Order: sequence, then C-alpha cells, then structure tokens
Amino acid sequence: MNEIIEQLKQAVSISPDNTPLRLHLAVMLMQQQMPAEAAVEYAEILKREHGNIKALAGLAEVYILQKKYSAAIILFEQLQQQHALDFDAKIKMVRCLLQQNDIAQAKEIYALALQEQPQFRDTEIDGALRMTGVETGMDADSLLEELSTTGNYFMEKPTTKFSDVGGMQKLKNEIALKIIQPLKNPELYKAFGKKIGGGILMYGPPGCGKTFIAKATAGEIDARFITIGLHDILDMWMGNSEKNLHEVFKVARKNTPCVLFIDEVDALGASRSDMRQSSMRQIINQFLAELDGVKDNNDGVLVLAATNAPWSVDSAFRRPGRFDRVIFVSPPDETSRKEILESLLKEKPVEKIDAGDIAKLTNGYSGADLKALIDIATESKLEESFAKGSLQPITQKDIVKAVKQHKATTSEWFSTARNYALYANETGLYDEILQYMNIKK
Amino acid sequence: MSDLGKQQHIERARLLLYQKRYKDAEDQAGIVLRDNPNDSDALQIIGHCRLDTRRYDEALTLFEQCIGIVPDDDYVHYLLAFCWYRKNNIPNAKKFLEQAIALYPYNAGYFSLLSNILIAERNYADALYAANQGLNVNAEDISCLNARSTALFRLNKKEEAYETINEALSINPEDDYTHINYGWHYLEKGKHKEAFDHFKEALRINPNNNSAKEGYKSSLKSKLPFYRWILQYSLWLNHQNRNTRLIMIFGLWGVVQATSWAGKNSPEWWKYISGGIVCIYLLFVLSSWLGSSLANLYLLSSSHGKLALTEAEKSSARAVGITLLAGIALMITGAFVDKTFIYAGLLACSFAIPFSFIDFPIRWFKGGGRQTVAHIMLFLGAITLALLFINKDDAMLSGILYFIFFVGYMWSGSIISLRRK
Repeated sequence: MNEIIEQLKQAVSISPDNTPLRLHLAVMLMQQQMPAEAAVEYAEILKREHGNIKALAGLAEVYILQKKYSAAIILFEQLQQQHALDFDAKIKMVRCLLQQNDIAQAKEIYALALQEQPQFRDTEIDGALRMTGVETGMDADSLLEELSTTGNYFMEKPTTKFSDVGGMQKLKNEIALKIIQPLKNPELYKAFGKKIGGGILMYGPPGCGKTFIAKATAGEIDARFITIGLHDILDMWMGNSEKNLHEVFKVARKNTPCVLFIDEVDALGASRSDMRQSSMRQIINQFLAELDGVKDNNDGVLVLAATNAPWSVDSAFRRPGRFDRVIFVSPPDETSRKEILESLLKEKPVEKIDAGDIAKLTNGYSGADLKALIDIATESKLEESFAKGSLQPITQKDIVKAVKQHKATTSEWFSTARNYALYANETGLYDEILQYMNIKK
Repeated sequence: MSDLGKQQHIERARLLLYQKRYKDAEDQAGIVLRDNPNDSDALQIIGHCRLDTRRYDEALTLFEQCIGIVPDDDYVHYLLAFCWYRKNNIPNAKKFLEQAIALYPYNAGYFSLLSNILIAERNYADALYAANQGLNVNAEDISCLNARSTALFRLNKKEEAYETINEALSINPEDDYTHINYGWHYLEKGKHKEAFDHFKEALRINPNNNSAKEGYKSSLKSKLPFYRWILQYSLWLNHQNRNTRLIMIFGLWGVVQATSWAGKNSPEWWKYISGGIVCIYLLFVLSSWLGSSLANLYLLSSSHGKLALTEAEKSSARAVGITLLAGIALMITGAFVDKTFIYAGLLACSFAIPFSFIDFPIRWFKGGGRQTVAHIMLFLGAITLALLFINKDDAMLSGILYFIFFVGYMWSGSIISLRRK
C-alpha cells in the first residue's frame, strides 16, 4: 500500500496541477490513517482551486479526526454556501456543532438533513438534540416542524450545582434526601424497601428560584434535565395531548437518571372541579397515570414541579407516590439576599456598597426583584455616565433609591396566599406560609 | 402567520384567560393583534382580561372597538353590559344586555345578569321572571338559581326560595356564590351561626372572595346583639323601595321631634316617656354610626376576627376606641375636678363619629369631598377642645361651627345613602 502512495506522491510532484490525481492521493492517505499528510494534500488542492468540493469535504473530515471541530464547521459552511453540502456532510456537521455546543445551528442543519432523508435516525444526535426521533415515533414532518420552531421538551445536562444556590437549606436537604441520596446509596434504600423516584412540588412567589434549584438538582446528580413549560402544557390541552405527555415520560424513562421539571404545573392540574369538560379531565388523569408509572417503571425518573398557585393544583397530585413532598420556596432571607446582591454586583463598577445594608432594606424581595434593583441603578448610572462623559460607578445611594422605586413583587402573591393559608388550610398544607408571614392562628 | 397559527394563539389565550393567567393571555392575544390590529377575538380576550382585573374603562374601550368590527356578536354586548353593571351604570348595562339577549336568547348567563340588574333596581317580580327565563334555557345554571332565590326571598315566597337555593347547592356544593347568598340571607334573619358556617365554607372554596370575607366578618360581629340588630335593620332597609326608606329616616326623626315638642305642656309622666323615646332614638342613631367600628373593635380582641380585618379597619376601630376611652376618662375627671372637662369629654367622644367614617390611613385634606369635610371637622373639634381651656367664649363660637358641620355631615350622609343602592 505504502508503495502505491509513494508512487502517487511522485506522480503528483511531477504534475502538481493534476487535481484528480492529488485527490486520489489524499483519499489514499486518509485510508491509511495518515490525516496530517492528507491535510497537506487537500490544502494544496484548495490553494490551486479554491472551491473544490471534494477537497473541502475531505479536509473537513481530517479536521474531525483531529478534533478541530470549529475548523471543520467553517469548511462545512463553505460547502453549504456552494450548495454542495450533501446528506453525509450535514450529519457530520451536526456532530461538529454539537461538539461545539452550538445547539441552535445544529438543529437547523439537522432539520435540513431530515428533509432529505426523513427516515434517518441517529441515537446520539437525537439524544442530544431532542428526544423525538426513534423513541417518540413522531413522523418526520412534525419532527421537522418541532425542530424548526423552538425546541419543545428540550433536554440538557445542566452544570449548575447545589453549591451555586444560595440559601434554601431546607429545600436542599429535602431534595437531597429524596433525590440525591437514593441515587448515591441505592443499596440502603433497597434495604428499607423504598422506591427511588417520586416527586416534589415546589410553590412560592414568582422569581424566588424554583426553576434554578430544579436545574441544580439535575446538575448535582449529573442527570439529564427535561423542562416542560406553560405553553407545552397548553398545547397539550389543545392538541392530541395524551400522546405527547406519554412521549415525554417515555423519553425520560429511557434516559435515566433524568429530572423531569414541570413548570407552572397548575396549568396542567387546575382543580378538577374547575373544569367540567371531560377532554380536560383526560389529560390530568393521563398525567397521574404516568406519574404513578402504571404501565411502565418510573425508577430513576425524578419529577419536580413548580407552581405559583398551589391552590389550583388538583389535590390528587399530592397523594403519596406522586408529589408527596410539597415545599414552600420563600423569598430569600437576609443572608441569601446579601449573597445574591454581591454576586449581582460582582462584575460591575461599584463604589462603597454595603450589600448587608441593602439586604436589610429589602425584606420580602425575590431574587428577580433584586436583579431589577441593580438594573434600575445601572440604568441611571449609565445615563449619568453619558451626560458626564466618564464612567460613574454605582453607589449605595443609587440602590437605595431603586429600592424606593421598585417594591417587592412578592407582596401581591402573599396577599392571595395569606387568604388561602387562613381559610383553605384544612390539611395544614400552607402552614409554612403562615410561619413565614408570622401569623399565629 | 397562517390562519391556523392565529387560531392556535387565540385558543391558547382563551385557555390562559380561563386559568386566570391574565398577563399571559394578553401576550398571546397581542401576538394576533400584531398581525391584524382589528382582530375581534383578540380584542375581546384582552378586554375580558381587563374586565376581570377590574380595569373597567379600558375594557369598555376595547369592547366598543370589538362591536365596531362585529356588531352582531352577542357575547361582546353581554361583556359590555357586565362592565357597565360593575361600574354601577344600570341604564347602560340594561341597554347592552337587552341587545345581547335579542341577538342570542339562549344563554342563561345573560338572563342571570338581567335578573341581578333588576334586583339592584328592586324590581323583584321582573327579576324573578328573568331568572326563570334563564332557567328555561339551562335548568342547572347556578347564577340563575341564585338570582331566583334572592328575588323569591324579597317577594316573601320563602318556601320556594329555600327550595331553589338548596337545588343550587345540590347541583354544585362547591359554589362560593351560593354559600354567600345563603349566608347573607341568614344574617338578615339574624341567624348568625348558620350564616357563619356558610361564609366559612365560601371562604374555604374561594379564600379570595371579598364578598365572602365581608360576610364572614359580619357574621362574627353579629355575636354582639346591638350589631346584629343594626345589621338586620340596614339589610332590611336596603331592600326596601325609596319611599319606605325615606319614611324610615325622616319619619323616625319627625316622630321623635313631635313627641318631645308635644311634651312641652304636658304632665310629668309624659316627659319621662318622651325623654325615653329620644334616648332610644339617639342610641339607635349613634349605634348605626358607630356600630361597625365598635364591632370591629370587638373583632380585634378575637384571634379569628383579627386576621380577617384589613389594616384600614383595624386602624379605624382603634381610633374610635381611643377617642371614646379618652372622652369617657375626661368626663370622669370632670365629675371630680371641673365642669370644663365634662364638655371636653363630650367633645372628644363626638370625634369617634368622624373617625368611623374616615378612610385609613388618613391622607389629611385629600381624597373625596366627604373625606375632606370630615378632616375639617376633626380639625375644628381639636381647636374647640384647645380653646375650652384657654378662652371659653371663643370655644363657644368654634364649638357652634363644629356642631353645624357635624349635623350637616350626618344628615347629608343619610341622604346620600338613600340615593345609593
């Protein structure tokens, strides 16, 4: 074999402009696992013939072998411009893009590829990009539509850890006991005959970090994380809902350990007495069946749900084995507020700021509210900087002024929640709210 | 955006509205409006959101825009009527509601609103007829059943009324309005324990129902006999027609005046009787002014009541309590020390009345006309109080001024309450 290569090299050196000959050489070199030398040949061709499709594709392959993904992507893009990106190249490009974590573009290209070959399935790509594909049995058209619009049921692997979450000690302990420990010490739980899995329902005023802690949970146990948001739920009401719900659970089960996070779960489980229409009831019942794992095993699937309106959540959701832990996520306490403020101000030009003092002033403010405070202060400082022509750092005074402008958004929530805690609290579900508001019944 | 896309957004927005996520619903409808600023469905949904969040004027504008686009949409007419009803503009509400019913006479909800409007007008026979029409369309319409029972109670057909309300409860035992309806009925009959149970149930079902909360507080306060009687009287008076109410307010006063005038040249025993009548009348009037605040003061001492009261009610009750206590203390001092303290005590006690009418927290000399007048009264009273100990003649003058304000304030209050529902 090496002889042939040697001969080819000689032939090429005699007639350096013979592109097909050089291409042949390069392909041979690739076959012989000599990517570096192949790259030299491809580069030579491209020097002479800038848009040579075969050389571009070949070089891209070399780069993939050498794990130079970004370089490969550039070549693929060039091919795409010349409308010469064939199906194989597209799939390769998707892989490169995934390596580079450019999910959006990867999806775009993948959608194009699937247009060509609707039957194509690739577990790795499907797994990373979304869970449709083989598992969901969705047909190619709807898959394409899904891909071209926003990614529903998007799966990711969060890197946030518990240590990134300030405060919320009780919540963390509860989640650790129910979710993290079972995965770390499965034998122990087996000995006690306790099943791994089940759900936690988090409730509280908006902007207090419910989604964040759910993500951190997934990061902590190195699990996959699937979010189902409000609009996904709404579309379930409208479309062929039951099927979609089943798909989500199916994918979660295939990808254990997996954290399935359902945001605004009250939209799904609005009290059954509220809805007389049977079609609406059906989806709740379907969800409960999936949660119970009637037909399938839910081991390793952890369901976290969040809501601002726990009173609208059907009580059937809270039965043992479903969301058997209901946890109140309160606005951050003083120390947490201080931590949050410090992290918000970390990379901003500031002058003499005592985060502790501001934390004292901002009782009841949610994390989102604190962010709004800093935004307000920053904006006013930007204006001033423009006027004065020099950079004006944020001072304590600016933030105190912002506190006067922006009131805690949680108070509205609490005025509603208070009534529920006082008058619709037979099971003691909302005792935590009363405790937080310092009301003795 | 394709036609399908629009329909999807509208459907989403409807669901969101149904789930009371007003902001999200408006966002979805807004997407449709961006494409077609005259989309009647989207406008209607946004209007509905505004209506539910009590921004009636904005809702009205939107609905009127809708009617311009689809003049034959009955539901928009109904929504407009509802808006006007909430704004207490009965003639307009009636006008649009009649149009809605003419366009589509098969919606029980339209008839229940009509019935409620007629009840507000104290036209109970027609209200009953409207409720029955609604029940012809849908025999299980809760709001029609509730309107029917209210009308029947007013027409004094108790048996049928109870039957209707029980039917409503059996159709949906989890309906807060039925319980509230029942509760107020019991309060009017003076059965505060039964009323309390129903209000509690209504609050359990919907803790954010204000009407239920008001009833809950009233039923707690009705433990006090004097409050119970005053409440019964005012609820009864509320349902009477204009003339009866006129007679009750001015007639009673006239009778009292007449008895005391007739007593001038009569024997000794008559003086005691007329004095007694005047005393009872004064007690009655005073408790109708101060009853609510005093009862709130009582609620402040119970743990349940304290939680139900709003901050404004608490402050008002405290202010009334403190002025009354201070007044009595001054009068007791006066009995031992100097007569001036007795006058000062009486004056201080009289402050309780403006305090019971003032909105808390007080924004001095701001707010509506009657609020400002009450503030001026308090101010005048305070000057008089100070002058009592400085210069008696000046005190007399400002005292008279205070008194004129006081009487004027009370009578104008009665007249205004006559006009109101």
